[in-house]
Parts: sequence; structure tokens; C-alpha cells
Amino acid sequence: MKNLINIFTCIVALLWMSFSTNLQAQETTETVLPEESKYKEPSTKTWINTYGNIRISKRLFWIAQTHFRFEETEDTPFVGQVAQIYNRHAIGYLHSKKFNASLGGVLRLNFNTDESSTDRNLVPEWRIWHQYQFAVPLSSVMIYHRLRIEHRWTQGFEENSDYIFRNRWRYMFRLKIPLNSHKLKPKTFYIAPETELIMQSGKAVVASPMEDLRLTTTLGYILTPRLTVAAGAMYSQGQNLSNGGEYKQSWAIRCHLYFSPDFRKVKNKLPEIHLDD
Amino acid sequence: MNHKRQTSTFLFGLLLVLFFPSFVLGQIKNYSGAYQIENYIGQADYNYYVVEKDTLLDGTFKMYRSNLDQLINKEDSSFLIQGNFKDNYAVGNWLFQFGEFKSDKISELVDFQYRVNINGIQEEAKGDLENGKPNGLWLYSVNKIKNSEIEKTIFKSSIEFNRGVPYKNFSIENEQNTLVGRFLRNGLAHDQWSLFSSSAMGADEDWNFSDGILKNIQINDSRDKRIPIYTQTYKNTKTITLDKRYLKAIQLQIALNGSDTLYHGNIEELLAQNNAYYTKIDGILSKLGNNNFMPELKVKVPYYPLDSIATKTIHAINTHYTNATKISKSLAENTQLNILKLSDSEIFYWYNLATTISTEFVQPLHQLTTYNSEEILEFVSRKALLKSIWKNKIRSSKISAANKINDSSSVKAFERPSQQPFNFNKNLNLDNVKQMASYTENSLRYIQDKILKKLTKEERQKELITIEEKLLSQNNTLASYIDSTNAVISKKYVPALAIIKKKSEEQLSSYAGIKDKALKVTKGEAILKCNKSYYLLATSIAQIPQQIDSVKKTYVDKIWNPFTATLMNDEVKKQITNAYEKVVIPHFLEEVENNLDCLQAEQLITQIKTTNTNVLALRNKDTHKLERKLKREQDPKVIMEMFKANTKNRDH
Repeated sequence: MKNLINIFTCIVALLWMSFSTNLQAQETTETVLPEESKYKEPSTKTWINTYGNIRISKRLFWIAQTHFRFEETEDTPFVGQVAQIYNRHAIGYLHSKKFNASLGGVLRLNFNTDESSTDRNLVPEWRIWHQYQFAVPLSSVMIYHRLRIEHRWTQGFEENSDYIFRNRWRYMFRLKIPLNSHKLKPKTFYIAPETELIMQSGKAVVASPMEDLRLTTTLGYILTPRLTVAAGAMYSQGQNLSNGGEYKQSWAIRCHLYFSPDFRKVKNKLPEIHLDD
Repeated sequence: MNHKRQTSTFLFGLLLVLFFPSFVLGQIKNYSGAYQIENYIGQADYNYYVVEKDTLLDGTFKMYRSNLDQLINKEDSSFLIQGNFKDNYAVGNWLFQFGEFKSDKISELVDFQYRVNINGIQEEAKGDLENGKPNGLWLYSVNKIKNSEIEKTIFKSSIEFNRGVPYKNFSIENEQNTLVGRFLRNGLAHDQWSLFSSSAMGADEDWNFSDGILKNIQINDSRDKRIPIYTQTYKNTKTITLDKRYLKAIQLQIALNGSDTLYHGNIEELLAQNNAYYTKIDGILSKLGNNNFMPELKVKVPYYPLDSIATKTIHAINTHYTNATKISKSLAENTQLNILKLSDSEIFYWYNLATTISTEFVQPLHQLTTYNSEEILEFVSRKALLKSIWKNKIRSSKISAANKINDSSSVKAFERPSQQPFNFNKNLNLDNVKQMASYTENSLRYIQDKILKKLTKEERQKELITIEEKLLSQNNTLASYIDSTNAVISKKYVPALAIIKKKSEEQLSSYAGIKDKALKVTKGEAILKCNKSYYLLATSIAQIPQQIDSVKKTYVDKIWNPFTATLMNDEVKKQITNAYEKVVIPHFLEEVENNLDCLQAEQLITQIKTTNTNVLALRNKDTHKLERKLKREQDPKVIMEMFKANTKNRDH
């Protein structure tokens, strides 16, 4: 446990140090900020995410996630058009029941959602990401702290636009509260409130370090230990990259499918599957 | 020189005279060492010679034993036997000493000798023997020794013998009484034998003999009575030894004479004591050579010999008596009969009859056969004896006994069918007695038969009662078990349990409908067995929920859920658990509900248990094939078959 706290403290410190460096950089940059922060009208989105977690050995698993993100159009709220398709992969390491870490890459396909734009319709975005997740049981509730750091290379939809590099610093706090059972087990509904703060840094980031603050609540149902579904709503807000005084907002419907197959042979599964038990 | 020669010749002659018998008769040898006669083990020193491999004692004999160690530590049995033999016959002066001593362990040194005081009993017999028989005066004394001195004499006898035959006067005394009397030259008791008690003045009892025949016994106590014994002149007499048999014959004669006065019996005691001591000496002497030490105290009795026919008759009577006794004893000891006679008038009657026969017939027969076994039948008049024995006893074949439990005045006569009736009112003879003995045995057998038949019936009735009690209690146990189980168990098991209860009750009512008792016993026993199965089946069914639960718990894997970061139970091999829970168990319940009988119950008990055990065992076996087959299978019987087979140990 002490070990875990140490890891957590180091990561927070690292995050903070990087973040304060960016703040200092910001001061020297000339910006045209509105006198008051401006909040855009919230847009509506729909995220349909699959989360795969494929066990490959006693300690290692392959994370394979595919997210489909839709956005409103003028005519259709929430699901008017495809906005992004994520392909997120990583290798995870199960340190213990309470801590795991992963490292991998993301290929995000960004669709041009500006209906008036004549630029490219689809551009790729590349990321390297690593993540540190802590799970703390508290009575029947599970508490999760997730630190995720992403190194992303993005480009605009304009032809031949350059990639810009940014770092993303994400912290998510999430609860999973079983509703019809004393613990998270198959055939259990649970409610999962979560908050994620995404900060960013990089040359392009001048006055908009807070990229996104996401407040989400989902209702989940554990079908089997290997299959869970969840759906919920998310409100988010964050600074515009081009102008830190402007805040975008959104409401999103989120639908999740969690699956964790284990294709290992029975003899490899047992008894290591119990981890530290 | 001459003188010298004369001396030599004399010495040679002397030697020749001295050793001549040895040369002629065989060589006299000496033995000195360990020796045992009967229970006496000690050191012996004696002379003997051997003739044709026979050891003949000749010369002095001494055997002794005393052990200082034993004396001081515990107790010592010492003895000394000393005398002479002549050609294997005891002759001359003899001394016997037997001691049982303890020491007070205090020693004293006197004249260079350690002296130890002893306490105990010392027996001593001394007298002369001639040709192995007592001759002259023999004294036998038993003394109590205290601090190495005679404290008191507890027995003393002095008898004079003439070549083994006691004659003249004798006296025998113990601590309480003294007997003095005399014998004729031929050893027959004669004249007055007087018994004195040391506690009272004067003679207590005089036995008056005349030429060996005891005429009367004079009691000299406050009763001052003369008991006549053999008062008549007898045609035939017989000389016998004065022993127990004689004393019994006297008692019988007294009874026949109609005298109820008892003599003291102390004479008997003294004679018996003396006899025991003489037997001891006789035992030793007879082992050592051709000796007979037993004194023959002789008396005469009237003699009524039994001829061969009479002997046979008595033998037959004895056989009938023995058989009759066995029957009457077994009836008397039959507890069931003894209880039943209190409530069943028929049994009451037969029991009374048997008791009457026992007192009226068996008892006198017992007396007669006892006298026969004591060999005193020949010493009394048979006529008088039978008359005396059967005095006041029934002598007819018609016997009556009470036949109503609460009415002692009501009696019923009995006469054994198919037996010759008799009524001996006059004098009895042995043949009459034989007929009565035969009738006695026969009647008792008849009665026993009647009683046993009745008892068997009763026993069966009792058996039925026991069975019925058990049946009811079983039924109650089962019913209350099912009721209490139904209150807590899942509803799907209730109908099956209810059926078991119903079946058990149905059995009871079908049992109640049976009239035949023998059939009832058989059926009742079958139901008892069946109910046991039903009870077991009920408990088996009541256990099914727990069994299912344990199967479910067994068929679970712990699975790591990375999204919740928790371990979750995962049901595995669902084909098996489903087949078990959804097909086989409902089949069991269905079978109970639709096809329950005793045999089916037994089968189901086994099946429920076996299936559960087998399903649990399949958890850790490679069941891929089985699971695949189970997917398609819905027939419970086939599934049960599959659960028993098709298993292979999983390789790790």
C-alpha cells in the first residue's frame, strides 16, 4: 500500500511540475483574451465505446478499445454524424489487485464535422499513452483513481497542415457502486459517477491548459465476469485551444461495452488467475 | 596268635550274618534327597530295595520340610513323617506332624542357637502300625500353638486298634464336644456311645448300640427324650461302615418311625472330623506302600435288598422323575407364563395344574430318588417308606386345580387323556410309583404343550403390539419431519415430501385392514422396513437444496475482472450443473410424486446420493465431451448414465 502511495505521489508531482512550466510559458505569450470567459452553447454527442481487455499472461493483458464518437448535426442531435473513431491499444501490466499500469498507442481518425468546411474530411491523430490506475475497495464500493498521460500528434483538416505536439495530463476519479448486490459480481447493476480533468501542454497550448472537464454518470450491468454493459450521460466543458477565454460545452450519451476474454488454456489460467489471493 | 585267628573268624562270621539278607533279597539302597508324596514336598531319607522293578521300602523312613525363610517372611507349612517299613509295609512306631506356622520375627540367642517363636496349628498323629494297619493306641491331636507353646487342643482322638479293627474304648473330642464309646472285637459299635458337651454338665446324647445295631438315641437335654431307631428284630442285617450314608439311613429311619425329634448331630460332626484326619494319614501311607490306615468303624443296619426287577423299576422311576422335573422347572421359570397367568384364566389353570402335579407327584418322587441316590433305600422297609412318602399326597390320576383367577373356589378336574387312570388308595408298591411317575411326566408334557401353544399365540400378539407401536412412532416421526421440513424448504420440494407422507399413511391403513395375525406380523415388518426407506428418502430430498448449492459453489471459478479490478465468481461447466439441477433433480421429484413405492424409494435414495457425489467429482475432470453431449440431452436417465461414466482425470 505504501508502495502504491509513493507511485501515486511521484506521478502527481511530475504532472504538477510539467503543468507549472507551461503556466510560466503562457505568461510570455501574447494572447487576445475576452474580458470574460465565454461559454459556447453545449453541443450534443454520442459515444459508443468498446473496451477490450484481453488476458495474455498472468500479469499482462492487451488493451483493445474502439470508440465511435458521433456528434450532432443541425438536423440531428447526438448522432448526426461520425466525429471520431478511436483505436486504442496497449499492453497492461497487473501489478496487483489494486494497481495496474499500461502503455500503448492510439490511432484516432478525426472526421471533419464542420459542415461548411471544404477541407479534408478525415485526418489521423497519433498518440502514445500510458496510464496508472489505482483501485481502492471501500465497503461494497470500488474507488478508482486513473492517471493517464498522452503524447499526441494532431493536425488540422487543412491540406498539408503540420502536426502539432501536445501532452495531455488526465486524472479521473471514478466510483462503482453496486445497486442490487453487496459487491460487484455478475448480474449486478452498478452506478458509476466519474469526473475526469484533462489538462494539456505543448507549444500550441498558450491560454487553454484545461482541455476538458468531464462529469459522467453511467449505469452498468455486469453480465458475466467477462462482459459488462453500461450507459450514461456526460457533461463536459473545456477551453478552446485557440482562445483560452472561450469554453466549449457538451452533453454526451455514452454507451459502453466492456469485454475481457481469456483465451489462455485452462491449465495456464489456474491457479494464477487468483493473483494475490 | 590263636586268639588272633579266633577273632578274625568271629568277625568274618558276624559280617556274613549281618549282610546275608542283603545278598539274598537284593541290595538295600538308600535314598536321600527331594521327595514328594501327594501335596507334601520336602526332603526324604529312606531305605529300599528293588524287586522286579518295584521299589519296596524297607527300613527307616523320614520325610520332612521346614523353611526358616518362609517362616520369617510369611508362613511356613512344615511336616515330618517318620517311621519304619518292612517289605513295603509300614511297621513299628510312626509319627506324623503337620504344622502351619507364622513367626513373630523376634529371635533369641540361646546356647549358640537362634530361637524364633512360632504361632499356628500343629497336627500330630502317633501310634504303631502292623502290616500297614494301625495297631494299638493311636492318638491324633490338633493343637493351637502360641509363642511356641500349646495354647489349647482343638481336636483329639484316641482309638485303639487291633490290626486295623477298632476295639475297646475310643474317644474323639473337639473344642465343643467329646464322644466316648466302645467297639466289639469285630469292630462293631456296641453299648453306649456318649456325647458330652463341654458347655454343659453331663452327657448330652447317648447312642445305644447292641451288637452294631443302633437301638435308640437318648437325648439328655431338657427334652429328655428317647428316639427309637432300629427297635425290631430284623431278619436280614448288613454290616456297613459308620459314615455319612449310615447317618442318613438313621435319619430316614427316624422319619419312618414317625418321630419328629431331632438328635444333636454332633456325633456326626466329630466322626466326620476324625475321618478327615485319618484320611490324610491314609493318603500318605497308601502312597508309600501296602498300607490301609482307614479305621473301619462298623455298624449293622436292617437290610431289604432290591432285586434286579426292583432296581429296573427304580431306574425307570428315576428317568420319569428327571424328565418331569425338567418340565416343571422350565414352566416355573418361564417369566412370560408367570405374568400371563395373572390375566389369562386358561394359562392360570394350566399353571395351577402344573404346580399341583409338582407338589403332589414330583416332590415325593424326588424324595424317593434322593434316597436311591444316597444308597439307603435298602436299609428301610419299602412299604413303610412309600407309605410315608405318599402320606397326604394324591395317588389318583384325577387332579384338580383352580381355573378362575378371581374365584379360588372354582376348580376344574384334569385327567390326562389316553393314559390309564389309576387310584392307589391302599398300600403302594414300586410298580404303582412307576405308573405315577410315568403319568406325572406325561401330564406335565401335555400341560407344557398346551401352555406353549398359548404362549406362542400370546407372543405373536405381543410382537404385533411392538410392531404397531414402532409403526405409529415411525409414522409420527416421518410426518413431523416432513411437516417441519415443508415449512422451510423451497416450494418445489413440498409435493414430493407430501407424497411420501401420504404413502406412509396409506401403508398403515392397509395394514390395519389385515385380519390374519401371522400376515399382519409379516406385513408390519415389511412396512417398518419401508418406512425406514421413506424416512431416508425424505431426508435425502430435504438435502437436495443444499446439494444443489454445494454443486453451484463447486462449479465456480474466480475470474479477474480488469474493469472493476475485482475477482468475480464465474459459473463453469454449466451444461453439467444445468443438467443436474434442471433435469435430474426435477426427475427425482417427479418419480417420487408419480411412482413412489418402497423399492423405488430405496433406488431414489441411492440415485440422489450417487448423482450428487458424481456431479461433484466431475468438477475437476476433463468433461469437454460430456458437456457437448449434455447440450443435446434432455432424458434424465441418459444424463444420470452419463454422470456415472465418460469421465477422465484432468491432466494438470
